[in-house]
Amino acid sequence: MSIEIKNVTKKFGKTVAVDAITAKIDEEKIYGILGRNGAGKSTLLNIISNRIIATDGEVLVDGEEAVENNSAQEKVFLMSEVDMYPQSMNTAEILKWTSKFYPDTDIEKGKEIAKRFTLDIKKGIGQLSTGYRTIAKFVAAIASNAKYTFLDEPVLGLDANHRELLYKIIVEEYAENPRMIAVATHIIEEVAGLLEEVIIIEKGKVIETDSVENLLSRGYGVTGKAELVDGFCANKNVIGTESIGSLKIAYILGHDNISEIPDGLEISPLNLQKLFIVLTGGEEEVK
Amino acid sequence: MKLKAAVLYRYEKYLKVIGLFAGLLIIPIIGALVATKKNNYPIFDRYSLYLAGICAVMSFVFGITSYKPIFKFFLQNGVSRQSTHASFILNLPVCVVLAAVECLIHNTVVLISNQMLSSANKPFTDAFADIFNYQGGVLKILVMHIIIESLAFMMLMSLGYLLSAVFSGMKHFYKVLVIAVLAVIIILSFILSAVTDSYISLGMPAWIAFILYFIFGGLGNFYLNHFISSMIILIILFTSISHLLIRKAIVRK
Repeated sequence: MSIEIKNVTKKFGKTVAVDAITAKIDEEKIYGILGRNGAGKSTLLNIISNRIIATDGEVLVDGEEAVENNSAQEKVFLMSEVDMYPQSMNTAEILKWTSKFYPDTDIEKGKEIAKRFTLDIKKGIGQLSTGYRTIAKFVAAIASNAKYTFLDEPVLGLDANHRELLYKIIVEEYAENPRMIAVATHIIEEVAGLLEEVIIIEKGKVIETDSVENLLSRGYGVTGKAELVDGFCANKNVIGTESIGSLKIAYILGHDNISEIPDGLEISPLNLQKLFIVLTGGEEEVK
Repeated sequence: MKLKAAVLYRYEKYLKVIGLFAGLLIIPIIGALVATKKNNYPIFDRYSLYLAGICAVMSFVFGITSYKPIFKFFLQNGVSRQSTHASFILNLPVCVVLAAVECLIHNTVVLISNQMLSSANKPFTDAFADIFNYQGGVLKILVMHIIIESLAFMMLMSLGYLLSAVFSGMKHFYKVLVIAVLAVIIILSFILSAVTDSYISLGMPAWIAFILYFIFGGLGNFYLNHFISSMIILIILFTSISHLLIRKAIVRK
């Protein structure tokens, strides 16, 4: 059982937002849909959830056509950046109606999550701050128990404490009620620890789809005194460096001569964010 | 499941508004009854069509609010465009409830007024029965009143929904342009009618006369069967065009 995205293209006038994407999203895994701003992440999620209609290609949810299909969409929930709820509706009402449209919704679980965020569920969504609006939408998404739950930029407007709590709830939810949860974001560093699988989108195309484990096994990091690290990295494919005082960490693609690590250097796993930057155009372009 | 929930959502939303409206009417009704007693004159008889007019505006607003906010909310909840449109059509009978509430309130007040004015033997009258010139027992008149109003309200709700669908799909510039062009056409038609002295009857431009003729079957004499047919045709026309618009509609940021 999975969501199959087959050769999906979406054009807005002359702009190609999604360019012949083919990908598979399996059930019961935590996905990261990663991409830079404007890469096409939200457009792809909107196509999967029938909010916009693809110019070409098809999306199948457990073998059923996703477009204009209520039964397929009963398994898909998209928490999006855009506010889709009436501004006067409060979180309690959102949960009530989510349970009508998604029969597996657990209203009590939703209320419990809202309580952990100290969200006032009787307050209209239009009266909430950006952060609390995001939380209200997150509460509905998790409470829906939808088989395929997509969270598009789920930490928009959240402070550090709430971001931590949100990630913690995702992990708890996955442990208690395994289902596919996909986090679409460009903030890689924070979500890296959550993800099992990654789909990286760049300029409307999928440039990488693999497990995090496989992706990170493509290289490694070395930590030590700056001069030692620099010496070791000569003639190696360094994709990024960080310095803390006299210490330096370098991220290297490939595994050549890994056995010849000099004394004073330590090997560490590759950093997903550094890899992402390389895959999506490099640090210079990011600047 | 999704369609059922969608229909339920629409009914809950609009029945609440109708309930609130009926509740709020108590104040002007009491005022009208007090005025009737004080002046010894049947205030409500005189303004019998006002309440129907307010309900007509309300049904048009129902139509306008039936599109964009609900479309967005339903998309959030995985409801297809087809089901969204079907739920709107299945929600049109909310106009029957509105018409029934209007008929009940209106006629109750008229009856109370008659009692207060010690004219219990005064024959039962109904504004729509007078307009369309039909006769029969009280029950028949009330049923016809509700049918006429229901169809008119459904037509107005469908029109509001269609206009909302048209405007929601447009970019801001085109919305302004369309409104400006329509305003100019309407104003010009009145000016031209006045300047060229080409009023049809009742001092109205030809296009308004044409619309009234299409709806009522005449300008002075109104024909019930013609009215019912034209309402049904307009409801089908407006909902069909809306369906074409909603098929590939998306949410604009």
